[in-house]
Order: sequence, then structure tokens, then C-alpha cells
Amino acid sequence: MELIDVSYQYKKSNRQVLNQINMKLKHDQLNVVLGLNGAGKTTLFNIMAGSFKPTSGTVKEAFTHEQIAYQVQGVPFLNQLKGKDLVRLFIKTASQPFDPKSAVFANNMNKRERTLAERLWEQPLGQMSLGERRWLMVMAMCELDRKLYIFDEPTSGVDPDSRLNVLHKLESVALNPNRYVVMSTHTLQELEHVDCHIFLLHDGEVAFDGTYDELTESNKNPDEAFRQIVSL
Amino acid sequence: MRKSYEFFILFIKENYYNKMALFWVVFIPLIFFFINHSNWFTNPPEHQQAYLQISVFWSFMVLISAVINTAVELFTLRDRGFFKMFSFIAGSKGSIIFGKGLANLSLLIISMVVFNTIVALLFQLNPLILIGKGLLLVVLTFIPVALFFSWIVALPFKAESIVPAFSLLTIILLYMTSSLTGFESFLLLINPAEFIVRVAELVVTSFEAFIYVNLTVLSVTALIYIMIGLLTFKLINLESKASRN
Repeated sequence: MELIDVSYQYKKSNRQVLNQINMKLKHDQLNVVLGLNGAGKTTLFNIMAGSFKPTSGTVKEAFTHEQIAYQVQGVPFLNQLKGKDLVRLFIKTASQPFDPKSAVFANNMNKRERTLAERLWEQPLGQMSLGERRWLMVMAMCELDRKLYIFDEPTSGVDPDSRLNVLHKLESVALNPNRYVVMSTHTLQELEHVDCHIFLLHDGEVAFDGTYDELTESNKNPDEAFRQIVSL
Repeated sequence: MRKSYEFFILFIKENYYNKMALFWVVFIPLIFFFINHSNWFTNPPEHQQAYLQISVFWSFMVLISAVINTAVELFTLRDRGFFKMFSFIAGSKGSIIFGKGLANLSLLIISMVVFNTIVALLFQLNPLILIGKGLLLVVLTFIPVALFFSWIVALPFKAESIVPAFSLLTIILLYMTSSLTGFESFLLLINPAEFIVRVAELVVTSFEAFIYVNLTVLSVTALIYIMIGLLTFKLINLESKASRN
């Protein structure tokens, strides 16, 4: 998927949120979009998903609605729903097979994931931590058979250990050559542990496009490296 | 259908655990009924008159279920990003809307049975007739009225601000019905409460007041409501107008 000279401006606004940006999503890598609050990350995702039509420019290899899984921030669910109910909702509304008896609902679950899934299977969402709920949602989302996966801040408010679990899951989905996985985050340190490609949005443009190592080349602290780019 | 069923199950659970839904549809009408008709214990009205009075409360139940429990709830789902996320997962928004409508229709049917059973037992009316007439009203009016209010989902406000506004609106709409007479009134078209009350009158009188003109007006009104709803849901934007998600 490639965005060519894509611009976007909201109606009744004179600010160009995205200004002729060019970016090509990577196969086999987790694509990460960074940026200050209001930098246009969610707008960019909406354009990728086809929810927003760019003011100008084109999206090459755009996907249809049915080929996309788009996880938005903070969708609340009924606290009384159990883990298995949540997974069922994701899987069955996507018309995919689901076995309510088996907590091992995802392919290639490691031992740790199996243990966690088994623990959460019968547990109501209200009794889960935020990290556990996020992890379960990401796991269920990743089970959907799609071409493009979009995760808007999937690790927001999640503890460091759960953050890594989520990221590793996304990384494993990205390894499939027929899929693109793109996410946004404000927690940069965690990216050190995953194979990712970073796009940093600033002032409506892609201010940085490269790997984590390239981002931290001049400054080992990713937050500082980020700050340097956005203050240029 | 399978997708709609999954959403139906989810929304049924929400209705079960969300006591406010039941509060609006069963308890509020019951409370107001007893406040207004406590004299029936000592001075019971004749049956036909009782049914007519009770039908106003049925109308309220249908209206509140269509406006608050369905249209406003769909608005909240859009505002919180549920609509957007699951329309991608399910491939369309239709199954979510259908599931929600069906769950609320079920809640309304159960509420109608509970309300009428309590009223019938307390005032020695025939429960089967009351329940039958109440359910017939639900079947005839809930879907068109819920669809008519689909425009609520497209409003550019936050969820917190529209719930009280529309709770008040339902009461105003019902109040306005009492001041109108005649099927020729164009207000029948723009006030769904009027439409429900008129259908309720026909149902209560077992269609004795039936004349073709009235039936035509009501049928055309229902059709217009349905068309408005289908068109609105087709055009509706999944993005919240007030919140980012």
C-alpha cells in the first residue's frame, strides 16, 4: 500500500492536516506511525481505511472495507462480557469459525499466551486489567483474515509487559507477506524490541521515515530523538 | 443473518445488564400510570375506556424504545467508535443496526407483557386482550418509528448532551398529540407520537373506527418513515461528528 502526494483538510478548517505526504507501507515489518497529538495519525488511518477521501493525491493498492481490520481507541464493552464472549464477537461477526470451548483461539499461541488466554476465557471484562482487555482484543483482531490491519494506539494505558505482548503479536501478524500491519503509539521505547518501520508525522508531512536504529542513530533515547525531529 | 444474530446477543446482554433500558420502558410508564390512574382501584372505568387510557402508555413505551433505546443508543455506539470498528469487522453497518433493532424489539415485547400483566392483574382486566393489543401496536409501529428517528445517529453532538434532550423530546411529542384532531393533519407525518397514538386507537377499538382513508394515511406515514430510515442509514457517516475515534 502506498500513499502518493496525499493531502487532507477538514471542512471548516484552514489547516492542512496532511500535506502531500508520500509513504509506502512495508511488508514483513510492523509499520508504526508516530507524531504529536493532533499530528494527523488517525486522519491518516482513516484515509488508509477508505473512511476519508484524500483532498488530493492517491492511495495505491487500496483495500476494500472487507479486507481491513481497524481497531479504534477506547471502544467500551459491557463489563459482564466474558473473555470468550469478546473473542466470539470479533470472530463470528467476521463470519469465521469459533469454538467456545477452546481458549486457544489463535494460531501459533505460545505457552505464555495460552496460559493468559485460558485465564481470561471465563473472566468478565470488568475484572480484567486494561492491559489484559487490550491484549485479548488485539489477539482476536489478529485472528481475522484481512489484508490490512490498523491499530490506533493499541498499547495506550497498558503496562510494559502487556505492551510487549501486544507488540509481539502484531509483529507476528506482520510477518505474513500478504498482510500489512500499521499502528500508532506514543511510547517509543517499546519499539526497540520489535522489527518495525517508523513514519513520523509532523506539520502535515512525514518528517522521518526509517527503522528504529535509524531514528536513534544520533540520540539513543528515542524520546529525545523524536523531540529533535519535531523541534526542527 | 449470522452476524446480526451475534450483535443481537451482545445487545440483549447489554439490555439485560443495563437497568436504565428497563427503567425507561417498564418502570417509568408503570409509575406514571399509577400516579394518573390510582382512582381506578376505587372507581374502575369500563373496559374500552380503560384500554384507551392504557394505550397512551403503550405509545410512550414504543416511542421511548425507538428514540432512547434504539436511535440514541446507535448514536452512542457511533460516538464511541463501536460502529466504525465493527462495520469493518462485519463488512457492513447493516448487521449492527439490525441486531440493535431486534434486541430492543425483544425488550419492548417483554416490557409490554410485564406492563400489561401487572395492570391487568391489579385492575381486573383481561391480561390476554391487553397483551395482545399491546403487542399488535408494537408490531405495527416500532420499526417505522425507530427508522424515522435514524437521523439522530447523524447529529454532530456528544452522546452526553443528546440523551437528556431526547428524553425530554419524547415527552413533548406525546404531549403534542393530545392537542391534535383529524387524520388530515400534516402533523401526523412529522410527529411519530401522533402516528403511534392513532394506530393505538385503531388497535384498541379492534379497528371498529377503521375507515380506508385513515388506514391509507397511516400506511403512507409508515412507509415514509421506513424510507427515511433506510435512506439515512445508507448515507450515514461512521465517523463521530464530535469525538475523534
